[in-house]
Amino acid sequence: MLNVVQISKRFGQIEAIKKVSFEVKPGEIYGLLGPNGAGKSTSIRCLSGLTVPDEGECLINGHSIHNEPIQAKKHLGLVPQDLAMYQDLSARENLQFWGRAYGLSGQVLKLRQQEVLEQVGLDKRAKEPVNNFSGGMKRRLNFACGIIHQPKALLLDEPTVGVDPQSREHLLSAIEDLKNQGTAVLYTTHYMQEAERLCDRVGIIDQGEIIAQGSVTELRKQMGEKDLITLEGQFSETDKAQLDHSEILEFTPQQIRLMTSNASSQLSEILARFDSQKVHQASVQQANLESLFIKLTGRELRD
Amino acid sequence: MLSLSHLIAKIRLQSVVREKWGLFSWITIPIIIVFLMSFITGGGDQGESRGTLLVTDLDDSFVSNLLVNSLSQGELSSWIGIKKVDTEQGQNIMQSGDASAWLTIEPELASDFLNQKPTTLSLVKNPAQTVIPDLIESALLLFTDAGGYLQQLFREELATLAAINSNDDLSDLEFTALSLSIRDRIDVFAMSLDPLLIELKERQQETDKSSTSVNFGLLMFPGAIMMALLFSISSLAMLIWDDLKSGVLTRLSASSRGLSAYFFGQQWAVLIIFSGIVLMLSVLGGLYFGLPARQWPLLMIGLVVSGFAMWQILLSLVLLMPTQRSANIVVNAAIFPILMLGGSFFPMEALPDWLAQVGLYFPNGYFLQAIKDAIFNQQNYVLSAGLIATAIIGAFGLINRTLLKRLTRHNNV
Repeated sequence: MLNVVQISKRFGQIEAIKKVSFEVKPGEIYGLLGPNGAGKSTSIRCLSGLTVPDEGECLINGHSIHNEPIQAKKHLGLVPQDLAMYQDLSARENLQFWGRAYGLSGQVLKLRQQEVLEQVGLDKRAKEPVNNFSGGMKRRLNFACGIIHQPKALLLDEPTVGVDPQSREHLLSAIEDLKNQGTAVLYTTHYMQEAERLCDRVGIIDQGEIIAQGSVTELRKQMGEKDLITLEGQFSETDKAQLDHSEILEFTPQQIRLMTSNASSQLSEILARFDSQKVHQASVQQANLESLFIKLTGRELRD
Repeated sequence: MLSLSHLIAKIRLQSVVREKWGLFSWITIPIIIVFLMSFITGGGDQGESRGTLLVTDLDDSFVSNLLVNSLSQGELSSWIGIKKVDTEQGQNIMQSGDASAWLTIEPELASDFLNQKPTTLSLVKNPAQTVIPDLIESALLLFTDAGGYLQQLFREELATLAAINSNDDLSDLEFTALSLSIRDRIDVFAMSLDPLLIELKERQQETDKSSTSVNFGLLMFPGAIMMALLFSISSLAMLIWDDLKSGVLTRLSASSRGLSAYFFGQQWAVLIIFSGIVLMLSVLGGLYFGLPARQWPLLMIGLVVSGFAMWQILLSLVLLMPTQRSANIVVNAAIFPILMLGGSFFPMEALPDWLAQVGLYFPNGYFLQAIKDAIFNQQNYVLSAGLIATAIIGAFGLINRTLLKRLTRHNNV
């Protein structure tokens, strides 16, 4: 349904994305994970036809977004990071607007307005101006505007940024419903738990390149099911020698990150090698996408 | 697609109506300016500009009455109104600046004039006025010169008059003798002057009757309506940037036909807003300044079409800018010279010829003059101006659609 084939885009001297390729099948959620500036938004802009890539091609339901934009865009829904809607209008009026933008009218439009309002839990406040809504409600409406026309492919650019737990749950459930209805979803996020819950497959993007790709299970295997230990304190180079049997991911005077099997039992042994004054805080993280990301890039997702 | 355009137009109209103070200022500022300018320049017909001459006549003789009456006769009376006052009133009125000049006629004017003695008239001019006080002074100088000539020509007759006791009436014999003497003297002068070698004839400047009959306010008010349109253009063009910043425009461009519908919708909204402003101000101005109703349709259609062409031109400037801030600065910087030289603040008729020629190179100046010439001067090139406006609308419409797409591509989702 969504095919990204070897796309590259350069802005002046900066190569924003380099030969990025991935595919999202109907009924699949593909997570694109990466820190700010990694190339997620540029990839989404290329896919939605807002940016023309220097190389490669983006296909929506078999139609090139740049050569056959009208056919391709009919099947595409976009939920941008910004709250892209009219704040002075009511929720229902906004849905009417975006429905018409995608060619809906008459009874079909009215029916879809009601359906998506119920889907995102805003049906009781449909007539209120968006200005009166909380941040989470606005996010839910922003999402609803992107799915009013029942797109076959949906691009979600960090749809849960800054939302309350209740709204987050609404959104995640709605995304799962879409997947079950056969929609191909491209999902970008900073939140690893969300990606782990929703995504069938994940691509990790850093500095414009996809550095790992596969199902969450496959990626965990790449980690060797190792856990992540983080030590915070004051460290010197001599301390590094104490850790030879562990896989050091990151070593700075303030922080050490280690990959190790069975971290719970290893932690007390590792701590015993340091002067008790040196380590101020220690934490253990089970093998997950976040620890994989740190392993692959040496950085946290929200760096 | 059409219904989406209408929906977009409706949303834009709602947003303009919600910002009622903006709408209010687009309409009221030009009205205030046209009335102020009209008031400053005399409130209408230029012939209505009159000064007031205060006269304190301490002599109150037939000579002083003759002088005062002379000042209120003929053409001079259309410029100067005479008000007789005593000394104290004269001082008060002059101090408050409510008169152009104050003439004091000293006692014994008649006696001194008839006896050919030097005499004085005092004139105080209002320094805040320029033309009328000088006009009064020039007129008085003419009368004093004329008095001197009379003294030379009718020396004996004036002496006879002076010798008569003012309390006595002239006998019939004395009156007849005096009259004959004056007539004989005039005949002598007439023989030597006839035929006149130099003849003064008054010649009228050949101007269009309708043009000279149009008052300043009427000349200004089509420009004021254009000013209202230009003020609204500045705000309406910037609203597109608001949609871009909020992400609506970018999201629309990711839909199948959203961007074209958006642009159509904006154009609908602008046409409706312009029609409303022009209709309201044309009716108000037309009624107030007495523009014949048959001229209203031409005025209204002309202003809406030319205003729409101006919107397209300024919108391309706005869409060419890389940021909302720079777009705002550029559009405001462009609006002011366009207003000043394009006949909105000052009618072309009030500008020096060379500046009026420059003003005609501004599209609004050219369109406005075409409309005014068609209405007031029966010079009919308004159709060709209309074609030019239509061509601008078409060409800039295409350019703006392309610029809009370019802008959405250069701004992040």
